[in-house]
Amino acid sequence: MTPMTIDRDALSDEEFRGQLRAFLAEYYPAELKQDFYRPFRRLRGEPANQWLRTLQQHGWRAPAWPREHGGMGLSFRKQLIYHEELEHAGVARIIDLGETQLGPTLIKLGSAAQCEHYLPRILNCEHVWCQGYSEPNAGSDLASLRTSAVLEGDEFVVNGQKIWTTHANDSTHIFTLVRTGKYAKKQQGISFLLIDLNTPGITIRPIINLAGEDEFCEVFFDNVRVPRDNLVGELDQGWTVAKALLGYERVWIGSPALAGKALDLGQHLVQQLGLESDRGVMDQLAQLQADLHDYRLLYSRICDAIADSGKPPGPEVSMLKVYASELLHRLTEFNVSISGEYGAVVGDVELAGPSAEVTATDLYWQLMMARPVTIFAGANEIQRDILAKTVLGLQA
Amino acid sequence: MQEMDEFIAMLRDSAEGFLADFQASAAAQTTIAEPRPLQRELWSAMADLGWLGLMLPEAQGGLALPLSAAAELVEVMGRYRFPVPYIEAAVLPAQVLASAGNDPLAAQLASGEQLFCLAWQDHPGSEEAFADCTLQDGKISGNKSFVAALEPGSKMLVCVNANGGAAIGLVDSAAAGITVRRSASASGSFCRVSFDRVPFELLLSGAAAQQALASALAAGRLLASAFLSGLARACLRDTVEYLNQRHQFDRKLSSFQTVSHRCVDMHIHIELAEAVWRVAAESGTAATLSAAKARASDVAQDVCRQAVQLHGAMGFTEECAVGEYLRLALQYGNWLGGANAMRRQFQSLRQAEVPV
Ligand SMILES: Cc1cc2nc3c(=O)[nH]c(=O)nc-3n(C[C@H](O)[C@H](O)[C@H](O)COP(=O)(O)OP(=O)(O)OC[C@H]3O[C@@H](n4cnc5c(N)ncnc54)[C@H](O)[C@@H]3O)c2cc1C
Repeated sequence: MTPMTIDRDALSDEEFRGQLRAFLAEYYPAELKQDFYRPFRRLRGEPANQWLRTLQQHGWRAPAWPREHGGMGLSFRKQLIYHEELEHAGVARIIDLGETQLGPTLIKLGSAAQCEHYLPRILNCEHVWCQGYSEPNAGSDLASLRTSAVLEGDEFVVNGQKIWTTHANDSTHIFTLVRTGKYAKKQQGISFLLIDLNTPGITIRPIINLAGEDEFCEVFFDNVRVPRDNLVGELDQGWTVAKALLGYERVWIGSPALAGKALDLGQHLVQQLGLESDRGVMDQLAQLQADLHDYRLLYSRICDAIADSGKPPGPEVSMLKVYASELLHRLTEFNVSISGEYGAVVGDVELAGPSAEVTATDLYWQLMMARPVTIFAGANEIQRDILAKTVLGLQA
Repeated sequence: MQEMDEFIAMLRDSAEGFLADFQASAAAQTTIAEPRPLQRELWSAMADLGWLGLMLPEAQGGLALPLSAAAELVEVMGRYRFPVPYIEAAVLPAQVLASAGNDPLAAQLASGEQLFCLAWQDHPGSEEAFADCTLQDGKISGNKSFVAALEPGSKMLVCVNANGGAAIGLVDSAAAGITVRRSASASGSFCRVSFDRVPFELLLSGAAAQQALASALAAGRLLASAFLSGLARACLRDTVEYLNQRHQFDRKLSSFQTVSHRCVDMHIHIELAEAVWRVAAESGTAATLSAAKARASDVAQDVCRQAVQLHGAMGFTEECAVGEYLRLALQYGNWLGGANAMRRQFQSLRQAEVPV
């Protein structure tokens, strides 16, 4: 493993921000930026890998990983700056679960050999990972998952089905939760298993989403043989392995970045459609602006507290996911509702107003892409249950 | 009256059968973000059912039914999320042709042999129709926005400014001098149309033209409200069915209170929407009509968005019907007046109606 040689964590916050800003300005391709057409633009497949490799070459990859594993070894506070700058520069999002989920899991709970083998391959995009947790009958109730892995000698034999696996069709590997034992409590007997998607017996079927994209998939396992060495953590202890990172996931999903992009579009629409003198519209916009402003402050406050404590986030971060995702809903709905007939269009449209300028946009896409944020990574109803129980002490 | 009720029950019944068959056929499939061409065979079948000329006088090949009957039919179409521009290609143009008293053209519409569409709106978000396109020496020049159901071979009924007065006339959509920018919608497409000295055949002028457009828009708004109300009801029904059959945590999803209460709230809002459009259909004032369109537009979009959430990841796929409901809710909820615009119209009409 090549440790990261540059130590950017040692820079002052200002220097760090300045360097990253300059790097992004020079290297991020303008045509891949988020814009009014694709405010939440995402990269996948080769364009995503290319950008990740550019980050890697310049020492800007894997901000949260320790330097000895090839990451940037940034403090939580600098990670926040990192994400702010990406947002500021309009860098498209990449769902790089190898970096954000599997890597940190292996670093924390994987064997030395697993780290040695997988981490560098994540960094250079030789391996692209997807997350195989959900099943047709195990969504919110994930612990009722049934895909089974039976030990036969040095191998697990895996049978079953995963669903909603984002970008399985662009990935080389999948990290899964599989049932390896039967206990009274269904959270027990689950194991965390790494599977190469090239293994015989795996079939992937893409599913078309409401935005018309084949973004998530079904993954079928038919007598798939997986080396025993691919088990992460102890046998039957996969639930604990998977949970180790949930708090961080909720912090990143609670980022105000998407809502910020939706508000940028909303403000632009107000101007483009000549609605600045429309009191009703401006009142609604003021509400949304204030909501986002206030939310950014709450987000920083909670993140600062996490940074200061040096401890992983607690259950209160469910709050972030709930508020940010619902604000995103309201913003994208506002964008449709002020746009009159343009809101009736499904797909590309050139939006004109009193001025000569036109805006190429797709109001349907932004409305749809905001929908699942309240569903995935623990639906908001489930987050509210967590908050009710653990933060407020409401009894079931 | 009773005869009419029986007739409407029959109309709804036959619509149910026809639409259920259509729903189950391959022809019902929709593709996101692609303009959906009108299927001529289907259109002929609708003509055979008498739907295209539903409100036209018998002399024009119509059934001479009142607007309230058409609203009943369209409510059923909403329930079957019928992705076909019935309001756009049948109702709006028929209202104009009926006003013009043009028997041959109306008969062609009713028989389905000729397609028509109405090009009225000068600018998005505006009610103006008789300013931007101007008539000179029998030819028109200017622009129209959000022209719905402009199909190959359609004849356009275009609202124009004829020497400062209103006029509506016929334009062949294949004529030279027409440029079209098309965007997709759930049931077809919307076009921005530019005319550059295109031949125009006068049908209506002056107050009669304005009247004709007003009655077409009023009919369109009423029917869109009925459609949205039926659509929302079916979307909620499907959602309830899903919640009743899906289990998580060893319970039906329907048994979680936050889930069931939200369904109840949606139901209350759908009842509100239906109460208003039904009054608007029978005897309502212009203010009631605006209220109906505002309510139905909001309710349908809200119900369909919530249906996505309540279906979980399944609701975010094209494998269940929620997306089809939602796209139609966006189409009819934001065209012919969105909720905000219609509420404002309601407010000003109401002020005008209340005696001082
Ligand atoms: C875009 C997208 C990408 C995804 N990517 C992945 C991925 O890469 N890998 C992966 O493993 N999974 C992925 N998922 C799946 C995701 O984790 C699940 O959708 C989520 O856990 C919810 O499960 P479900 O969809 O089965 O909904 P269900 O659990 O069936 O829930 C349906 C509805 O019922 C509500 N509900 C359920 N239980 C309760 C309760 N106890 N109280 C109140 N309400 C309740 C839910 O909140 C929801 O509104 C993805 C999902 C989406 C939408």
